[in-house]
Amino acid sequence: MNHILLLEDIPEIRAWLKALVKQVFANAQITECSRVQDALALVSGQRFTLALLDLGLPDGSGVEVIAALREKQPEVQSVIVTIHDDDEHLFPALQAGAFGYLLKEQSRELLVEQLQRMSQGEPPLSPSIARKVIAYFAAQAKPSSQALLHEVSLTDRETEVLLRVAKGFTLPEIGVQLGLSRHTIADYVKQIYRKLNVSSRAEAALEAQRLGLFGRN
Amino acid sequence: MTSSTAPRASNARRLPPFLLLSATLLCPVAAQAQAFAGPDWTATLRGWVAAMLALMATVVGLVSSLHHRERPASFLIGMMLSWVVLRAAAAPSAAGLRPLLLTLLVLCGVQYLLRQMNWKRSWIDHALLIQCLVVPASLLLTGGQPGMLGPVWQAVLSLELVAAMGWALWLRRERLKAGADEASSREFVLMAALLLPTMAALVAERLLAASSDLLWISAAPWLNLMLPVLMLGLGLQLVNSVAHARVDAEKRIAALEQRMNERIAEVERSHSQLAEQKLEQVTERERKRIAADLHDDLGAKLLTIVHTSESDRISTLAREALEEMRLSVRGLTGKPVHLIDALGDWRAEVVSRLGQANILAEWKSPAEDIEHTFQARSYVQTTRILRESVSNIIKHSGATHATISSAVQDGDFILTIQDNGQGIPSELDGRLDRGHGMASMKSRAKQMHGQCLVESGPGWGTVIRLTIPL
Repeated sequence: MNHILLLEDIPEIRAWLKALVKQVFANAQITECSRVQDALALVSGQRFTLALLDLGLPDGSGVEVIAALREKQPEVQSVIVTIHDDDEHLFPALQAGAFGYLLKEQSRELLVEQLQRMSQGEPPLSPSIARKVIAYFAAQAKPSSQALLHEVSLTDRETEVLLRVAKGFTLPEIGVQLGLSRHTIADYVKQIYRKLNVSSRAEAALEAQRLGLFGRN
Repeated sequence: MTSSTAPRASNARRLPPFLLLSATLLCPVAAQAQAFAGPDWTATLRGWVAAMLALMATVVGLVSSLHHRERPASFLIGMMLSWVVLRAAAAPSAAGLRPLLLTLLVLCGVQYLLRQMNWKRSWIDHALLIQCLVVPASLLLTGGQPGMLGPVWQAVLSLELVAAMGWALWLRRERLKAGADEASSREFVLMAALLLPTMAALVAERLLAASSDLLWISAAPWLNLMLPVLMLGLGLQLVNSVAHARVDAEKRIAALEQRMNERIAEVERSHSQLAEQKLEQVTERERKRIAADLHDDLGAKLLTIVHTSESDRISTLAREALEEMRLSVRGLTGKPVHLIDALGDWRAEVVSRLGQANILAEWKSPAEDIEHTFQARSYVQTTRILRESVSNIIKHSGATHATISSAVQDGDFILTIQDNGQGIPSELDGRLDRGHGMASMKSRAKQMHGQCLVESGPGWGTVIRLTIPL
């Protein structure tokens, strides 16, 4: 019933991840691959419910697979599993439409717990990523930026949630502070991720348009 | 006719023909001056003035032939030479030539005065040229008889000169009003001093000629001298202005040179800035490449150890090695971490870990307006100490409640981690066991020039006080 795509190039880590996924999703069917090209071929041929994707691969980046999934199977939850803990790597992946990320070096228990939360629709959001998202939307709200981007802006509530995450409050804590249920808070976070993706796509479209205009001249 | 062609050719760069003319004139004029020496001293004076004028014409010609901007000076030369020739043609046989020379003198005088002020009207040009033909022609037609025509033309020509002088002065005054500087006001005074007496002399001469013959005969030689004196003055003024222009040009060149040096320095500066930027870019790219390589290779191997090792200790070591690798890679840029951001990161991790272990966590942060920063290495070390103490609380303390508070005091960052657990058993106190990692926490604090104090008693819980200089 659950069909999970697993993209990881190091065999040992792939085996370890597979065991981990089996522990959380006992009945899941797992399809493994180690190259971006193989994953792209699989994505256009089979239906998945969850994709665990490494970022740095021999023939490219997992971000390409996230983008392809976003386009062909938007209902799939793409989760990055990476060794990179820096925003430089994580933020573009989130912008491309990832639902969350796991750091490979974390303990098995923590990873299991995070996967379980994600399967229940609670996306992870670290303080540093929250800060980055705030800065990103603040830059877009500036009068100098393109008008089209203003349409994708955060609501006050979403900004409030982000600010609290940035200060280190957990999602359940924020739920209590704002008098909202866990689910509502999770929905806010999902909405923030979605807007991040929409906004970055609008940005890309504008950039393409700009380049196109220049090309015609 | 010879003198009218001379000024027109004077703007060429080659040696103009009028120079030859004035040089050849100089000899007979001087000879004439010698010849008249004796009883007629006014004639001697005029001879000398004529010689000076011829010389001045040569000088002005030399100067103006080299300076395009002094082109009106050719009219001044024409004026001077006309006067010189007029004097030389004093013999009765040359009487027919005199009216032509006189009109030429007026033409050159009027044009010089007006063009010096950049005042040009084509009708004046035409009228003056026509006059050059009409005046001699009319006098020739009347047969050179001493009738009314001669004095009338003389009066007209004098008035033309006076009018031109007046107009030139007026224009100069207007220009002075528009924008006065020291040099131009000095020039105005000089011109007024030259032109006003000449105008007066010309008018007086005509008036005397009209009223009394006797007075005219005695005063005319004096009054006649005003015009050549004016010409000498104008010539000197021109030479003077060229000399000034040269001084100005030298100043400008010096200023230009300085500006150029400044520009060169600026270009060099921006070039070195650019080079620096380029170096930074290259460094950054190289850093990223090294980072990618390390992550792909070393990182992957360490990760495999983390997840395949049977021993907790080895996994922990591998995990720390992984962190250390990242820090080294990032350390090249050495970006400091904002304390407020660090506190956010720590809070999220500590509260969620303790929460999972069903331990109630209480987090106390300092006021929000702290603006301190951490060295990247201090941030990582503090993160490890905090992580280790939270692990201890979860694994060993049996606590149900933990309080983590942070503060900034006298340039130090102080972190206190307190639990209500059973404390560290006394038998472990002496050797600070490996499992609790107290020794490594203390040595980490020492690396940051800080301090890590552990207070614990059986049943009293444990308090860890970490002090790190910011």
